Amino acid sequence: MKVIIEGVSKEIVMLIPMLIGVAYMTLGERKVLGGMQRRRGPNKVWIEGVGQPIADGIKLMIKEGVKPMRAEGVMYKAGPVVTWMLSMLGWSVVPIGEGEVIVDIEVGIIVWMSIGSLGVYGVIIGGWGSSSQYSIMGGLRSGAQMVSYELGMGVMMICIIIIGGSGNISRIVEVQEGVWNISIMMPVVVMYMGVILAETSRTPFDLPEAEAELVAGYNVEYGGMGFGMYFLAEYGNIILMSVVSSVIMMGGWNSKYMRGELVVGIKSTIIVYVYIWIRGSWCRYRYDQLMRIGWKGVIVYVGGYVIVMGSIMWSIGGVSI
Amino acid sequence: MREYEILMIVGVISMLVGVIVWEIWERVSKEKKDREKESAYECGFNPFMEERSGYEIRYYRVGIMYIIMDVEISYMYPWSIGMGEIGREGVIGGIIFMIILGIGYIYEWKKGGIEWE
Repeated sequence: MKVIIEGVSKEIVMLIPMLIGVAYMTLGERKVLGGMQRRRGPNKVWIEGVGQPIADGIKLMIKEGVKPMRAEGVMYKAGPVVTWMLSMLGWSVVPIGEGEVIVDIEVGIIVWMSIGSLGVYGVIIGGWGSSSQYSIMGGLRSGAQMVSYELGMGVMMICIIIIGGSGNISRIVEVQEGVWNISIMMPVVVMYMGVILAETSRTPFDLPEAEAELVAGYNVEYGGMGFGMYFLAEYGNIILMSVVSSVIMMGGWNSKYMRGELVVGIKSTIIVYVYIWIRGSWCRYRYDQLMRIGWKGVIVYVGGYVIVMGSIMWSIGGVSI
Repeated sequence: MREYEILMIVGVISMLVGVIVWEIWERVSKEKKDREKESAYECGFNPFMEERSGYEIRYYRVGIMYIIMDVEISYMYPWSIGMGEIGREGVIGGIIFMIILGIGYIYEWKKGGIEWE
């Protein structure tokens, strides 16, 4: 019983800030993109568009739901729900401050990776269940992209674990007290950025929503809150990916001058801003280029870097703090 | 064990929240039935063929490659944790494992298994 109360309260404490963060990230994205194109972005609702995410949410909630005739009932419903659930579950193993984590386990980073891998199911179930040619094709493409870059991510995480000497994310942050992992991983850090962009299906790797040929991909048959849940999950994944990157690569909460949570927040916000910046300035890759970068580039180079990193860490006798 | 129980509870609650949001949305937004509106999205005309008539073998191939490689990578996590303790034999063993993996990968590459075109 005590466990249940603890779980529920931690879930609520995690869920509400996450939803507010996602809502205001959408506003921030539109504002930043607008600024990059010398527009003002949304500025009508309330003061300078601050009410825009709430208005969008209400609109999605009261929008008429058109369920396609041929859609498979359970699968059609399960797609967004599963994606949403995994997007929230991923937050439970990621610490945002010293000891501030829902479940502090020794294999935290591996659990986080496996939750991220399961995200493919939500996309494929939704695309398959809505019984449209476009959505099935979009789901397959999205799934193939996500699994390809999952491998690159897995090899990156082996490097991180070798440096940190543990799968526990808090421990990985402790190790970075002197030197951030981003400088140790410098030869592959650009690939890391590419991998996290492709994992969250963002520009320049936003092939799943390639509107020209796929009319928005796997979620084409979803309207209203079905679409809204996919959308929230996707943006939640972006913020989660930024937080994880700032924690495992950019030193986490190590700081002499500020509170740890604030430091993580600032670093994560910078990474989110880079996401939007890339969206504002780059164009999309072709699908075969995406696959080539994933399978022939990232995995090969980062796999080689694992050998280098393993040898170095062994020769200096492992990590000690 | 307690930590994993909390993880499970968090998962169940997340699922419940998702289901509840979906159900509320279905109740709030009444759907007006219409045959054309409910047909599958197809740019205005009737679908040419069955939607699940088949898909390209390349996706299947990527899936198989992913499963093989992902299992191999999962084997490397235990190796990667204790670099300070496993000693020379451990490191060399890991590198030999990676070389065997690399040979298999090169074979797959030469056979055209990971080509998209």
